[in-house]
Amino acid sequence: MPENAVQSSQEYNSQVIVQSYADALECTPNLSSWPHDATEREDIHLWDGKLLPGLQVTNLPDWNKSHDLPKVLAIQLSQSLPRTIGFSFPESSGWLTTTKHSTPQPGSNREEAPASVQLDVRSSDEPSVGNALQTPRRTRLQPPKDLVRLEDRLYYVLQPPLETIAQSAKLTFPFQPFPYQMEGIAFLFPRSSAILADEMGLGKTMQAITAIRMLLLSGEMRDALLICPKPLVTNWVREFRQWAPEIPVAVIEGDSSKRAWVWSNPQAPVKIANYELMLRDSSIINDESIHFDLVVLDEAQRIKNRNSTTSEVVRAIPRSRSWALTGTPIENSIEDLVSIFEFLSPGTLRDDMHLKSLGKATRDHILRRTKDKVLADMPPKLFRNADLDLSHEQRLSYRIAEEEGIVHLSDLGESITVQHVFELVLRLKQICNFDPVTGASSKLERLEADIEEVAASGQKAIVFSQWVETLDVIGTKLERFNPVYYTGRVPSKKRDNVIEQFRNDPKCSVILMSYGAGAVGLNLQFCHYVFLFDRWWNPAVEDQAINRAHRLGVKQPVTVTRMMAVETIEQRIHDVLEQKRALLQILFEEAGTPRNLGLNQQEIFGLFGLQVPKVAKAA
Amino acid sequence: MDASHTPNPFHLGFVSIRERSPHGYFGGFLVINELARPLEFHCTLPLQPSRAQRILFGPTLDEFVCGEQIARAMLGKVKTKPTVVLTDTAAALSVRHWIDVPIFWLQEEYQAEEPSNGFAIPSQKRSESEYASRVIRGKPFYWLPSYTGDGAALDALMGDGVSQLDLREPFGRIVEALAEAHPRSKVA
Repeated sequence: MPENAVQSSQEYNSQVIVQSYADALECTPNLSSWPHDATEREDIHLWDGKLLPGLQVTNLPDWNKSHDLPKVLAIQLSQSLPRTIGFSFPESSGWLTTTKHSTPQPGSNREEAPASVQLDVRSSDEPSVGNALQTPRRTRLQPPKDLVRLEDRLYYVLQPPLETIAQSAKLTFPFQPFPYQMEGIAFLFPRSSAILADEMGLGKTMQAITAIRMLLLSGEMRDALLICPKPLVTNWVREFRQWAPEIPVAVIEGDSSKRAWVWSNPQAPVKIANYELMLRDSSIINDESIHFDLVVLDEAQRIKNRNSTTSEVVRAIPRSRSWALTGTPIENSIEDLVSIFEFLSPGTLRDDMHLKSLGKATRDHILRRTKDKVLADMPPKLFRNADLDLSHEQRLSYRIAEEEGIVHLSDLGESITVQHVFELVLRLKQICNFDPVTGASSKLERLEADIEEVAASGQKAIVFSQWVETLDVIGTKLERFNPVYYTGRVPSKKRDNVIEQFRNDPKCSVILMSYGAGAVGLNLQFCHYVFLFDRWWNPAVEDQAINRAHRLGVKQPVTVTRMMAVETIEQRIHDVLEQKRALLQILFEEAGTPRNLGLNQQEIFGLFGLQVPKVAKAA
Repeated sequence: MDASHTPNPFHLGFVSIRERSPHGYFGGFLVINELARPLEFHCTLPLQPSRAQRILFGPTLDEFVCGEQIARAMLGKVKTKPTVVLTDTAAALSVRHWIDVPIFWLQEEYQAEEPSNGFAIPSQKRSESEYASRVIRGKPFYWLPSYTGDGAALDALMGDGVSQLDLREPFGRIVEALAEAHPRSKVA
């Protein structure tokens, strides 16, 4: 091997070793006294002694000439420990155990809880014993994006899964919540502003109640106010009794002195009030002495008009957290959502925001799931379009009314308004239901035949109409099926009895409901047939109505019969609404949010081939 | 660790030390109460061993970094002294030489279902046979054999209500907390 090759190898090795020392120098300051010049580097090289096999070492320094002993190089490693960051969290004062609320409080609506089960945290394929080392289902809390401080975020990140919380607090439930419901609870739990916008029937009520329950029992919250439409108050009380039996609930009702007492009653951590009552008690709830840790709005689309008194009163309630529950956060237009956000987080949204900005600003605050995504095994909704020809008498009346109506509208010229068109639409729709002279009705004939079949099979049916008078006529015709009525005419205190009769009386096969009274909040999943005798203006309201029956707990497919008179105003409305329904489905999936889901002015005029007059446009 | 605090039989400590390239080692230490709720959390800044440390410690580097450096630093800061510490990082067992609390290694086998966020447990260098161990309900717990009394502490732990807790679950919380505390080191 040539000598120069040996030299090269030595240089190579030397470079490696020197580089090692350079690394060490960077990390260990006490090595700074190490030699640096070229001569001493050779010492370092020899000290290491790792030469390539078979190489000869040349030019070795003579130790005896310059030193008595070889140099000793000490590498002293740093003894300092790494820096740490630490956080302490207050030990929950606690978990109030579920037995602490054993005494019913005055003004509360506690009754004995129904049979219940403890939350099963195991996966379905796991054995039932010794769960300390099994792999259970875990639903974790996630900090909201608007939480900035690391300590606050870690507080939620480090909380145990909801299943563990429920188990350790010995919380019981009437039945096992679905995983998506646990995710909904985990969504609500840490948020100070949130919209739970699940499709109707997925259990928004249960998710809200359980989140409230966990917040109360964990000491994170002391009280909550729930505001809902008046007909749903008893439903909420019943649901609280079922899902949070240990939580005392007080309903704000009665005369003003009783209400004033209940408002200030600290014994009931959950208070339930209705929207109508909020107006009357606005002076009480805006008092400085009243503050709620949480205010929940059920059917929050009730405040979609932000200039309404209801909206103003609700927004003024002193509170720390604000939640909204609604299956239709955008019932008509984007402005609906902006109005709800004025309650949740004022100033977050503006009417003129670009859709992408809107989506970005709301993403962390809205949770919406649909049945087809989360309940793959839920029985389906079967839509059946009963497209019917008008009877001879109806057709005659319809033609006359339409011709006269259009002539009348044309005569109005520039003074025509949308109300004029509406009047004609309603007139024609009523004729589609019944002939005004003879009472003939192809819809009613078909309905009677269908109900006959439903009753014969021991099933029950819901019939929806937008007119109470129409329901009266239907009820007379269907008298042998012992129909009950659930409309605005029925006092709210008697409505529960109506539902109970419908549920329990085997002879009662039909409930006749108006969209206004029966579209929201009712659980009629024992009923597998829904008839829409006439159509509502807005697909979201129709969906609400249908989902009275097609909701959690339903055991069979729900058949929805949409009755429509062909080649009439109903078909024209239907065609427009179907296009909008398709848009509704993509509402929360894409930025292409429609501006309006009901019929707008132009579309209403368009039903008769009319143009919106300039005056109406300007208005 | 401040020995003046009275141990609570249901205060459990969980140590997890993870490696994430190119940042190095991250440590997290969580203390929970009997309801599994968090009481304290400590984490370290990312630690990159020096070249000299790598050369000198060789195969024992992980034990030095995880046990003597990171775990020791975190446990030294704790205010709520746990009765027992569990770890999913075998190399952290060496912290036992520095603390007066039994520490057990729960061999991890749950990673597939936990979000790892790019954090990996340092590879195990020793054979399981080098540790003392006990199988409880089909799952092995390991500890340093020189601490013979620790086995009794394990028995007491498992028979003292802790059996209701999911002992693996808190490690997942630690990993998520590390990702939260070190956002700039998140994996793209």
